[in-house]
Amino acid sequence: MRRAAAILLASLSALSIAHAEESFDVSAFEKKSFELAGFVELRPERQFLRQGSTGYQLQYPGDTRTTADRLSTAAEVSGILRHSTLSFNFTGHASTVDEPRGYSNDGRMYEAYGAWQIDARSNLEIGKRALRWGKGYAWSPVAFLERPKDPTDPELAREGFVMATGSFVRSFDGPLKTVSLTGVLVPTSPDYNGDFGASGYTNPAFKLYGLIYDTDVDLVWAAGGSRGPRFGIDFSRNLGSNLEIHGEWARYTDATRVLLTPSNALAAQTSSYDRTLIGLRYLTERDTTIIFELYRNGGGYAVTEMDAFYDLVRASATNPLLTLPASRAAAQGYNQPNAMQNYAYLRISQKEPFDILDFTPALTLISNLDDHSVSVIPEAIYTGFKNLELRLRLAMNWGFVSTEYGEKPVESRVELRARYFF
Amino acid sequence: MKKLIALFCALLVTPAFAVDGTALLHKVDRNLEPESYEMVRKLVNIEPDGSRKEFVLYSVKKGRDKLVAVFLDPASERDRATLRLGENMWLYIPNVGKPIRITSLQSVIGGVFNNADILRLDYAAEYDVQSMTEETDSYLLSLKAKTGDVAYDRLKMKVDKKTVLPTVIECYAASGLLIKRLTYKDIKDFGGGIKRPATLETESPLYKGYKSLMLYGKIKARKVPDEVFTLEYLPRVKELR
Repeated sequence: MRRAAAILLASLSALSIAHAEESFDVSAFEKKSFELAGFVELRPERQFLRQGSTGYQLQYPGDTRTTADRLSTAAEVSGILRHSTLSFNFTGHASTVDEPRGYSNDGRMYEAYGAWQIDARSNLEIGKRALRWGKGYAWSPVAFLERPKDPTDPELAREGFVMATGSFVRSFDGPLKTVSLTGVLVPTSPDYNGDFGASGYTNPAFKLYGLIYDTDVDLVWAAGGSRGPRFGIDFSRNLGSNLEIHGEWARYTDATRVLLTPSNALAAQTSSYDRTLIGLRYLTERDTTIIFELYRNGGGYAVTEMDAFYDLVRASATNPLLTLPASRAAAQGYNQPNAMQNYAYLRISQKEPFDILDFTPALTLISNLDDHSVSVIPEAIYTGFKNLELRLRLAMNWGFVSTEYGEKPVESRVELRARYFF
Repeated sequence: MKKLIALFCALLVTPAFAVDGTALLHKVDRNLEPESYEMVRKLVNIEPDGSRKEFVLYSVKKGRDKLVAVFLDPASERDRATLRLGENMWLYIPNVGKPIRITSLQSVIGGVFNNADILRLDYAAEYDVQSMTEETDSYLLSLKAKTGDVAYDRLKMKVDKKTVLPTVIECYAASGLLIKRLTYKDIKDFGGGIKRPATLETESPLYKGYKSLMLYGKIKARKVPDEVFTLEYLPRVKELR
């Protein structure tokens, strides 16, 4: 009898402990006057190099190595300091890379701005800010005021520009549910925004957004100044409970790009052109997400123009006089990601296959439709450990001679990225 | 003849049940939470080996179909926010820096939870009452999704007669497959006249051995401006706390 009572008592105690474990202290999640968050990252990587490619010639001139081991580290810290309707927000990013060519480090503020939330409808911000305009996943033609995305990792944070922004939003009943207007000034001077364009301009821009008939629509306009005038439109809409479509179109006027002349000099060419993107996001019944996008960059290099660049780099291997123009051409445009005209992007990710929780494998393909080269990126992400994200990624560049991915210095690479959030 | 009379009576009676059932479902919705509210919940995934994964979610709802939610914890999910405006849904990931339109079936987080659990509107907004039966101390409501956009095609909801609160809800796919069983328990007084279950336990035959809990820490009636439910405001939702 005593034993039974003891068991009963022990069971009741266990139940009470189990119940106590489920208690939830809400006060720990109240808003604080200062909050800090971020992550640290470690990324070992092995690259299998493509000797004979123009990319190899530019990165490893005179070298014979076939592999390169890199170890990258990064830390990103975001914070917010609040006082009533005022706040100061910042994101700092620091990184190091240790590779055969040497060790380098970098530290910069991605964002640092003051904000005044006047009321729920109006907001003012001033400082360094990373705006994100457009609906595209891999590319965004209407992203007039930001640094370009890396299509192989579009979700990475990027550095902003110093600017002042003001926005006003109104909600309605009926087919037009939301309207918002955002005005921006991006001043340029020798001290800041140097890489936005020529200094001495205020570079005003506006974005008018509407949610109408369940469709997001943005009209975007940026006045001429450091860059030529640009305007554009984007949209996104759900066509069903598992299908979303989006698109962007932008007109770039008086835009300049660097072009190689027949004498291998660099000339600035001014022209007007369109950039267009159309895409979709589809979710299958088996929880597979498919993102597909087609991108046309009217200002990109044509196949013959890229051929001239590849020829110059190859010639520089035997003619040292051509080394400098080849490196300049690479740095000023020819070597930028997706520098040509027509691209396709496909990403297929499967949420938790075989009932493995917190596991997401994915396959990304980025194809240059002009020269038929392709980058293939299979990866696996595991988030089963608290605040730790592990990503194992293999990236392969496939293409013939004188094609974008065929001329990359890295034929394939394998990397593990471990990111710990705090 | 008797059969015909019985059938006629049944046809007459069924609509009356449907009306009562609908009123009851509205009452259940209001007893669970006010139409416009702010809420803090902890979501707990418990795996077969006993390991746990916890998320803290702050959400604000207004009217029938405006809802916004932001993760406060863990650090890896912090500030990830979702906006629902009727059938429109967007996801904001801080690193990406802009809201992305997602389909209503796209999951915003891994694990056993899906959008229907995290961004649930009123039951009466998403389901029609098909039938209601009365038991000794409870009602049993049979619910059918109004559109194909809802995660569960049918629900069987057991409602306690005394408190007019759900005790058990079974969620079925259109094929008739039981997807989840939700159990409401631990009635708690949240203040402001809100007395409701503080724990929602979820088990799924599809995830044998896995269990999830939703612990309600704060539920408070609150009416915020409509402009809070816009893409412009989405990155700042946590400031509403």
